[in-house]
Amino acid sequence: MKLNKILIGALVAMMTLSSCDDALDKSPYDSIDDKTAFETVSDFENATRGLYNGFIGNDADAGTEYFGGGMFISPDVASDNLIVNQSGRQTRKTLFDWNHDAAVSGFGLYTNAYIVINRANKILENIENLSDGDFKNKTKAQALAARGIAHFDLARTYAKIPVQSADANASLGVVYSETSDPFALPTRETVAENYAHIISDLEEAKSLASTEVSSLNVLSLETINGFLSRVYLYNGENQKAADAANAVTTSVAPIGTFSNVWKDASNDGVIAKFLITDVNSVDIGTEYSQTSPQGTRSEYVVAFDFYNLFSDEDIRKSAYMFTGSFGGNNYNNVGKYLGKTGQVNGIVDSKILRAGEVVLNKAEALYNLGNEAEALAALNTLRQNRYTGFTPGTETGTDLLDAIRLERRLELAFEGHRFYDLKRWGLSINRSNDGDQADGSGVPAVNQTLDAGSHKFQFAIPQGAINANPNMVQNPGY
Amino acid sequence: MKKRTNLLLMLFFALITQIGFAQQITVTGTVSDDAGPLPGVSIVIEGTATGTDTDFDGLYTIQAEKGQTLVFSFVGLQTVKKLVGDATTIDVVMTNDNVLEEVVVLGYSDKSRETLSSAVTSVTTKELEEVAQTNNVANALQGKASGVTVTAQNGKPGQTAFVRVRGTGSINGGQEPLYIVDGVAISESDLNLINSSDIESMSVLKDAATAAIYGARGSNGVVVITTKGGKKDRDAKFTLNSQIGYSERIDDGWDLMNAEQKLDYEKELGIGVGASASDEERAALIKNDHDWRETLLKKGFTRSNALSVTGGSEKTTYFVSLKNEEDTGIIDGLDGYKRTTGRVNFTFDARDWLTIGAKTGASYTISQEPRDRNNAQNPFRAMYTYNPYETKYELDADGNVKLDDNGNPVYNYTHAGFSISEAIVNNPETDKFLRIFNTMNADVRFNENVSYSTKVGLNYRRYKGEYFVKPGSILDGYVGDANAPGSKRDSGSDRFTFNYQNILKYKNTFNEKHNFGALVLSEYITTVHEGYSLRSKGFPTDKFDEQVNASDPTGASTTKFEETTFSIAASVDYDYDQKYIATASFRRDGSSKFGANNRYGNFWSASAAWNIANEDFLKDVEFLSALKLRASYGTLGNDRIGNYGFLGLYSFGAYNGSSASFPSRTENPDLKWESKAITDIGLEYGFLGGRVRGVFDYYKSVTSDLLSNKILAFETGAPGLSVVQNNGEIQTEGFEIELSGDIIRNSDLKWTVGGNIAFSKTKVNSLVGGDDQIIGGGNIILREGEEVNTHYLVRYAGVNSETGLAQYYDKEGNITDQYSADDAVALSGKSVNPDFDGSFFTRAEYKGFELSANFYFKFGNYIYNNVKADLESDGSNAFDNQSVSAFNYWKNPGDTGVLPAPQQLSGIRSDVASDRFLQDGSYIRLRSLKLGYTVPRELVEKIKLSDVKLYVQGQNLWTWTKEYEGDPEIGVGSGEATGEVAGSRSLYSYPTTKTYLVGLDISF
Repeated sequence: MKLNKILIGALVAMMTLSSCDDALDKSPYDSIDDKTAFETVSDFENATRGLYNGFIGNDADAGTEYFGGGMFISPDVASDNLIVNQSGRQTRKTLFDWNHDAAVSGFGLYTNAYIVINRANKILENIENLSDGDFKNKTKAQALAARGIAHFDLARTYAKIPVQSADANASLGVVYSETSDPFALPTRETVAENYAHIISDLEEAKSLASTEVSSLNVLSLETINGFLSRVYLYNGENQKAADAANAVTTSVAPIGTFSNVWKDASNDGVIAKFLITDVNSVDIGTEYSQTSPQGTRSEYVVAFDFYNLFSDEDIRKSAYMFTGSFGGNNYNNVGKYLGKTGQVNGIVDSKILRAGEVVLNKAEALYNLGNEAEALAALNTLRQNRYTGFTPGTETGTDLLDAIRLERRLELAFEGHRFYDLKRWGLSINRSNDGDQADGSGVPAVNQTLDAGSHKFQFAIPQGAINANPNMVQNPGY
Repeated sequence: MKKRTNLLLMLFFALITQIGFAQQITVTGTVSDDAGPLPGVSIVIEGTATGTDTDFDGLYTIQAEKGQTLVFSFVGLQTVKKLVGDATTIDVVMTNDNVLEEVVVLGYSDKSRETLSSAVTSVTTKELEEVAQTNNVANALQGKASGVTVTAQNGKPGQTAFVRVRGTGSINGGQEPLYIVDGVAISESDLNLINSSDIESMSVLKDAATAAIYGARGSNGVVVITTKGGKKDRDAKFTLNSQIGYSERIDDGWDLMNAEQKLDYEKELGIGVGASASDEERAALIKNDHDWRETLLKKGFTRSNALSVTGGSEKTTYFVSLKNEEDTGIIDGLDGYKRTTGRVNFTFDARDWLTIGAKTGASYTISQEPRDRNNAQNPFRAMYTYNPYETKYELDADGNVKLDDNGNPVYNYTHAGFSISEAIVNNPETDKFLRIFNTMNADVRFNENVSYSTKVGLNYRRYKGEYFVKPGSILDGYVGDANAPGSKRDSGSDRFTFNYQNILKYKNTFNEKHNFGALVLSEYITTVHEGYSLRSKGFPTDKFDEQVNASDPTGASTTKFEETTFSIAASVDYDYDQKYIATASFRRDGSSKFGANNRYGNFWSASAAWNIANEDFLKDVEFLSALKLRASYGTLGNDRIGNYGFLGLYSFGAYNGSSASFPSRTENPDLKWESKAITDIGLEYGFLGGRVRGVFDYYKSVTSDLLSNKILAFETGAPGLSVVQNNGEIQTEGFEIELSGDIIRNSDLKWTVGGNIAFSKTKVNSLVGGDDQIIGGGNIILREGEEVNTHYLVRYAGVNSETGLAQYYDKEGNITDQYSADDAVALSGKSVNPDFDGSFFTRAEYKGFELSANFYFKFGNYIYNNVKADLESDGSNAFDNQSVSAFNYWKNPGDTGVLPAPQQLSGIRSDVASDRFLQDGSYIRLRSLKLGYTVPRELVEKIKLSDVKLYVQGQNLWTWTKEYEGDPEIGVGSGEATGEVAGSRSLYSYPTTKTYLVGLDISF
């Protein structure tokens, strides 16, 4: 009889345990359900910072190919400001050789930029959870601006630039993504449609933006105006470019503090920057070089002919570059991203917009409008803050245009502008036959000319993106 | 919890009175086989746990009751049953004429092979020992079970292996089989806690008939391992195993450039040092010539010592073991791997009706970790990267090693800017694991038909990893903080799994011929995993690495996750006179891993077998000693899908010291296990009194609800650009043959040869939307109708003999010198999976000498040879050392049989991904060659020992490859490469080594 009781007991024990459905309900300790991610002001603040992290690649899902480094070096690697260092690691060599294609590009902006866009769209889709007011406007403005800027960078990389050639506006643009729907299979629109969308997002952002300058309002009114001046210039809307530039109040950094800007010891002339500390895994400088007690080992060094364009009176010569020895040879290294004061670990803030560029945007736009006098004035504003003992220039006509372009190349060197500038001006890329070493000796670039009409100016859509979306089409030539 | 305790107490107290008394007599006798007296034969009184073993002279003594039955069993011999009558002497002669006779451990239950209707391969300890004294159990399985493919992940000491049962069963779900040790599941990585000489038996359940009772965890097959126990009424037997040996790199077959050749090559291409070196500089550099493969590697040393004691008294049995082992590996400067394992197993007959047992194993491992990544921070990459004219240390003008201010040699950064030799010394990384695994059970015998067993399994693993970048080290110079030099990371985790099982078994025989068995069980498993990581920087000296010395903490984090499953299951089996056999099983699993819409899953199986040899009409056929036909069908699941995979998530990071959130996963509430349906038909046979024996199996398995990472449009920017879904279907079909035979079998000489071969092909039946999935970094495709994991590459069309440019086929098959990734095609028939693999062995025994050899072979898999792509890179990697064959490039119009012109000359990069670097991975390898000598017992007994055996053994001594250049045994390409299909390409992971061993086994 006792045996039977035990038998029953055992069976009961087995069966009672079967009613433990609650025990099967587990949820993570390190993440929250995405449906509850946008409920409070602090949720939106976190998401805004997450948007910044998306730009610089400072979390598990984002990469550093955007403002975490790739966007600063790649366009210069692909043009004539840099030359590959024979004793470097040969990173981005495919891009330097213009062998970039759908499989290997040497510049991974595509996925990085769409990750930023997705984060912006998530904020925008939930923005109505906030009550009307300054915070809501400020948050929405930043998400819209981020979406516009990211699409602009995609469009100028993977598609033609409106002013680049007559056929540009009707040619293939990129996908303009306005939803976070993970299952969307969007199609590419035209370049003209892209710029209309970009401008629409930036203008709406401008209407909502806050003038406040804080670490939680990087994409402020000032930043948006600055980017608008660039976008309008690219789109051939010169008056609007000049107007947007005029709305920017930040003045260019003076000679006295200019070098400190690159050590993050001064914010003069910096309109927008993402903050990077050494607990982050983002080190922009490593894109350019690594420094050890043995010296600085650069991936890319300054092209000899370009180095010679910097005059000794130019503060940028010492602020941007330094000559150092590695492996028994001297090289002209890029010093802009070496580290904060006292450091050589490559960790510096990500400066995405400076007053120097806005002034140059304005000068170029005004020149295009035929307003040479004001264009010259704008140019001189910058030059007097760069050259010691500067006598205001008096260029006119083509000389003035050349001067604006030269100053743009010098001022924005190694910040990811050169390739796009040559592209939108419809110019070929011509590298000199100089070598990689400080005195121009060493090994020159294998490929030295990229003709203005080359399809390589429009980067290939990554093959993975073509594979993943049946509606995608590749750029011509790849 | 309280319920459980109550139940146990009830069991203890309620049955305390159930003690019986009976009249016992002493039975003695001799057991022998055709070669003479047989030691070590197990004798058990049927229906009890009481038993003994024969001694060295085949003698035994046992107390038994009249009317009880003695069961004599010995591995490989037919079990004999004798009824105890009035006689006090029972002599037995055992024969090995029936291969079906053997007890097979199935995890929740055991079964005789005679009545098994399932494809199960058993591996005995003897077989495992013969192949390899390996410190990982999974490696030892290689070639021992047909249809079980074992690939070492890499050759790193202590590394586990990939065990795959019957081809590819899943793509994104886990592919490792379920491991059941002493009745409780553990993970593949935890196999390191088991000392391979503690293993009593190992079975691999390959089809649904026996695996379906493991439900949602069983679809990749089940490996059931049982550790040794003692025997009752036996004196303590001590066994000592000692082994020592060394290991070395297997020749990779690459003829690398020497200093002079490399300088010539650089000159030809106009790059690097060689381009501009003066004659004087050249001569100096050539003097430095050395092979980095020899500079960075060393001969490894291995050593192991084990001691075990086993025995038992009237009511208890015990097995205690201790083992200490070491394998330095072949990287110069690293101590490699050390492991200590201990085990205590015991059983105790608390009452006639109650046996209590516990099995506890613990292991502690410590390993110095090399970096396994695809750059010069990995010595196995660096040895190909560094140039032969570059020295390990900086040399002064006189050729002497330069010393720094502290008197230490100055390491040469080399052109790679990094000295791995320095990093090994100054950036030490250490992993330590403590594992404790315990099972406790109480077995209650209500009567001869009904028994109940309750079991608790406790599995604890503690991990601690340390990584110290010493202040002043090269890496610290690159990435460290100049104001706070040196950095340290301490990370670790605790994982605890609690397993609680209740099993009720029923067994009865009706009318002497109807054998009926049934079991019901419940199982509750819960795991908690907690981890931490602490970092700081600023160390005053490189002598201390404890963070208390650090000036600036830089990071701290903790993590935690939990998972729980609850299951109930039942099975019934029936046989008629061991001729006609039928079984069925059912299991219902609930799991926290599954989505809210699919929390529970049901799995079942049915099988039948016909023991043809037991039919009366075959009883007289002498030629035939065993013949069984069996068939089974069932469904199983794969729940290795990660935790919380069904939830859409937002995760957190930090921006400028404040919280930042980001979307980290796309939700899928329908997420569930993968389902697999397996059909298996098998034939087991033995001829000529068992001299020839084997198994044939045909199977077909269909995995549906296949977990696949649906790649999302890049333009959505969705987290990870993928979502895990259940869609698609793959199908594996194959057959397996095992055959072995004793060619010579007499009292002096026994020579056995045998082997197994398994053919399998896995193809993709359907994918979501019928769309291709490109995986594994873009060079592997899943396409409906094609073999799974087919290589997806642009086809190389050789060198244009006029221009020297590399040529490719476009999608339409036209030849072009314009490379386009879009021209990649699925290379039908060239997949990561072999067409067939298997092993063959030969073993000869003559007067105490034993010579055995085991070969493993694998045919028809294709590997993307990344090492070749780097060593014949057409100039793209010309700064790194190159193969001598790289000289053979196009120079003049008309050149044929050459490599493309280097990019320094052509301006075009041609080391791009194409099938130029795809190679047939077929190989045969002499896994083990062993010569042993057992010292004659007469001599041994004079020095009071019972058994002395000496042996020498070599592993991986010889390899034949069909086409592949380098080591064809590719598991992981690179330890830090993620998302890669195992075996798809070589990427400088720790290579397999060649090992020479001398061993001594003593028992007394």
